[in-house]
Amino acid sequence: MAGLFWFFLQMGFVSFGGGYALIPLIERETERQAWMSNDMLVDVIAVAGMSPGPIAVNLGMLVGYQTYGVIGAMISVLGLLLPSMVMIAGLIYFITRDHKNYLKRCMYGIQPVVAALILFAAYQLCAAHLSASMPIKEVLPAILIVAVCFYMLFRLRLHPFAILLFSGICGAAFYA
Amino acid sequence: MNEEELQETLSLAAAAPGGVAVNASFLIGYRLGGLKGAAASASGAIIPTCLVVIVLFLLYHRFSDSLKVKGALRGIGWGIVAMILFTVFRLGKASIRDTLTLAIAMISLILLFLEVHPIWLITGGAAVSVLATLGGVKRAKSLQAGQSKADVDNSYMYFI
Repeated sequence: MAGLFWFFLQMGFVSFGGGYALIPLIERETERQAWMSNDMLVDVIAVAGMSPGPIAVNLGMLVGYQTYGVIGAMISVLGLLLPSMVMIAGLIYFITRDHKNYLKRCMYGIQPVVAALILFAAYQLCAAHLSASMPIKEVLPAILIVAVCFYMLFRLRLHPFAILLFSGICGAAFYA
Repeated sequence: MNEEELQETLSLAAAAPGGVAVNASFLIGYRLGGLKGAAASASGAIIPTCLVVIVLFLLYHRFSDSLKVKGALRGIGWGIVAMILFTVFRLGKASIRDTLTLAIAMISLILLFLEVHPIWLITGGAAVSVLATLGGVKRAKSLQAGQSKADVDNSYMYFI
């Protein structure tokens, strides 16, 4: 249980950009520690994503819940959130004395890294969903869902809830 | 809280690691009621989420045999991929402003494929940008430029 807390505490320090970037890291560790089967993890990521709130926190909560019940869930959420709370407190203190704009300068370099991290997370998530043996009639709906959802977000500016609803219905229609 | 304070709070919340929504609630609570306010509003933001997540998870356990539910979850998995790509697009547009930031993003991506741990990339990116902006006036301008872009529609942030 200490291992669970320590792992998510580390995750909390690198969860810049909302935590999408943590998904592949949590996946890797879950596989290594055998906290959950791979099949279930893919489902659980969907459950975490359809709940409100940051996906990394939700995912951490579910991994914790699966391994040690309610206590495990609390431990992993605490681990994930503690570093941000400490760092925010530090930032409040620092930003009022930051005459040389060090914070902005750091963010200038960190933001592109975070963009790369999140793109990599998307790639890893795709890699986890897809496999070489997958028939084309399962790949096509996936491409369709991603394309339409992106259009809905980008052009129509729909709320994420609409995306979840649409992709869920599509999934039930195509994959069942 | 006025508009400007809110905008400042949101960008600070996005700058710290962690979910933007949780960080923002923590900051707003802190401004209004000190540490107690921060604790109150952060737990207010987290507890309903926890309940929803656990309930959905129990529902998943209950119905995971159903093919329709399995299918819907797979569909939602792809919907999440789309949301992530959209986040990358938004963040990339706001953060990649010149050759330096483009280079940082590209190199980070390559290093990620070589399995370098993210913490090194974040530290490295921060170090490079601080060094590169040490004396430059031109850079100071580009620092300002990206600030106003991020405030179009932030509702998707609730999910990250």
